[in-house]
Amino acid sequence: MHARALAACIRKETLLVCRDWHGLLLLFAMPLAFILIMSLALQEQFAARAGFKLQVLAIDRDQSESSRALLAEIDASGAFTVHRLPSLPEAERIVELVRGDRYAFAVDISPKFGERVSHSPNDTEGPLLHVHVAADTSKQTEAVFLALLRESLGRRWTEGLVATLLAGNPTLAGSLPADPQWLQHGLRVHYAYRSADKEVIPSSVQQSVPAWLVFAAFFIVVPLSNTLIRERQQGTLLRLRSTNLGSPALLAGKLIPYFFLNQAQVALMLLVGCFVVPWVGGDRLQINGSFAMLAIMSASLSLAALGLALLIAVVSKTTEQATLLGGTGNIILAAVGGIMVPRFVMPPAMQSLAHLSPMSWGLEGFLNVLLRGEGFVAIAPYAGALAAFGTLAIVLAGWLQQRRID
Amino acid sequence: MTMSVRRDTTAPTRLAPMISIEGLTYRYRNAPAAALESIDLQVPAASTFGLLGPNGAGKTTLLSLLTGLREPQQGSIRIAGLDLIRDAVQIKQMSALVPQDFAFYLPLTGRENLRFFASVYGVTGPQLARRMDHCIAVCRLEEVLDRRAEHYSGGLKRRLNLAIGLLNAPRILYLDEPTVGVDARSRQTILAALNDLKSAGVTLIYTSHYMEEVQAICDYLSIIDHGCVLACDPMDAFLARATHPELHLILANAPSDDLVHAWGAWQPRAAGTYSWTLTTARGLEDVREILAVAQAQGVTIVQIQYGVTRLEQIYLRLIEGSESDARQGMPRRLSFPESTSA
Repeated sequence: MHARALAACIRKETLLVCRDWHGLLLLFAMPLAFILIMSLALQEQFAARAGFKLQVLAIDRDQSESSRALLAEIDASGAFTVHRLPSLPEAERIVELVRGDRYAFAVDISPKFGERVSHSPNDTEGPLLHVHVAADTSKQTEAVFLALLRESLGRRWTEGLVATLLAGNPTLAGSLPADPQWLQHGLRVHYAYRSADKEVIPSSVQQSVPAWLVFAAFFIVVPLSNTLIRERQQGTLLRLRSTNLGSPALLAGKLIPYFFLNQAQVALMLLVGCFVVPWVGGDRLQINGSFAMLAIMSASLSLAALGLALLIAVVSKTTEQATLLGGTGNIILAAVGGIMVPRFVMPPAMQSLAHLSPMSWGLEGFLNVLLRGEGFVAIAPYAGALAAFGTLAIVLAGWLQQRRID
Repeated sequence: MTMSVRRDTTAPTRLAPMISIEGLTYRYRNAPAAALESIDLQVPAASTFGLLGPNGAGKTTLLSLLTGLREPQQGSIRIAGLDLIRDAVQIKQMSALVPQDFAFYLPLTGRENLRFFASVYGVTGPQLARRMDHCIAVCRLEEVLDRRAEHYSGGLKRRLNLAIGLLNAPRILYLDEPTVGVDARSRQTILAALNDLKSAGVTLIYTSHYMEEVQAICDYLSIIDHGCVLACDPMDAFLARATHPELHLILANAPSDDLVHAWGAWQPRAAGTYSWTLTTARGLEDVREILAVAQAQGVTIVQIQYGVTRLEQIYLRLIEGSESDARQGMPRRLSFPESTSA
């Protein structure tokens, strides 16, 4: 009897769990998606031996034996792959290329590099190398790359020294560098998102505030979809629709408070980055762009998040389903969109996929404003994409809701 | 023997109709059958009109059409002489819906809920306080107004649900099972409030599964099943026409098989061991004979009830008759087993 009851309970529970496709998605699809996304995204961090390397753009204005040797050593390091451009671009073009997703660094080798590195200890002609660092390159990676360059410069200098000694040059002492530390000054670092008039050193706060700001804004999906579903389940929506309130007022009355909640989130996180993080010992967030551009990005981000919330509210039957869909959906969008793992460490295929996530549009737009100090032209594609996504989601939600009513 | 009677399902109206429905049809997308099929109904003004029917019969669809939540696919609905589609704004102004669920915001207080819905109904200014006070008094919510609705009992929630429906002083009030799951006191409060509304000339459209309640407060009744109107009559005509008097007995001890056999001509039906119902087609003559048989068998009778017509029995017979017609491929129609009149 007990065995039968137990069997019945097991059967009942199995049926329940098999019919709970949201639960099954959480149990199976989400970890699968995470394994795929995070494995691919972090592939380059862990699989140098498998041939995945960070891309370095090389501009060789010297074309000497020394400059070629320097680039060959970068290539041979096992961590970086050097791409040479067929023509010599202007400095602005280099910055533009590094701001794209492909390159982590650009190395601009100055003319007469070979001659100067081995024979010009009291050089006043400026840096031997200009290194451009991409906005999303980690501090750790940057340190490794710069150490590699300094080591290579030192080697070039030592080779020059040895060659001079072997030649028995009597004026050698005069040509030796007074301070071997000159090599430090032979290398100048530029950051691809540095604004024209401000020197911004990349910091964790510059990287993480825009990322988590976008992530948090999309979490508006959970409370908004839950209140909508509760209104639907409790008949409140029915009651409101039976009045002269009208759908536009109903929708606007629902969305406007959440829109301002999103704006408050953005403002709070920026304030934390500017004042709280330095107070606890971190770097201060520097806002390089204008507040008008921030407002445009923030508004379009909110529109996208609100649209997604409406869509999730319409397709979910219960608040539990909406929480699940909203929560896990956000985490997946964040993982794909470069919130959790910077896009530059992802392989090219994953980087292409990242462009499909609205969180990626938000992140790029905010990076353009906060870090790169860009104006409307630079943020318009991202703000436009977010606004279009939000509008499309709202229209689709309205259509699905009407179908459900019919 | 079952005698079936075709009926005109348009209610005979002693008063001018507040709601007039003609040829109303509605079918949900991808549904195998229409939810409502060529419905004709007239609801007299200032009446309490009961809508009965099993789950899925079409009551909720009819309510959602009347309240403008859906648009008729065929046929027309006129309310107070106005067209439901063309004059939707005016119609919505004069009507209110009290849904079956607690259609308000649980985290808000009763007062906050009332104020919000009053704004939605367009009640503002000096009218606002007056209307709110009235609704609070009618539904006896004074003591709990500033408590969050989530802390209300089931009965209080029902009363708040009704109070919200009264905020715009509706001429027509749609009530979808307004007393489901409430205690006797709250039920009494709600029914008293409905009676007051009725006296004030408000037309009430009322759906409920509590037959006694419907019988007590409705002037007119319509029974719907499978999207068709099976019956639509004034309540008194409905009760008088549709049934035989029955005799209900409560016995002190269980009747023997011999007694049940002896009662065979009166179709004895047990509702438990001691409670029995018998059909008395010949009236008091049958009652006398039933009691004599019981006495002869030595059974002690504790309680006798005769001549009380129960709506529930009529309703169940109607629905069963409709199902029987459907099984035989006949159109659903008003059907009274052993009906004595047409």
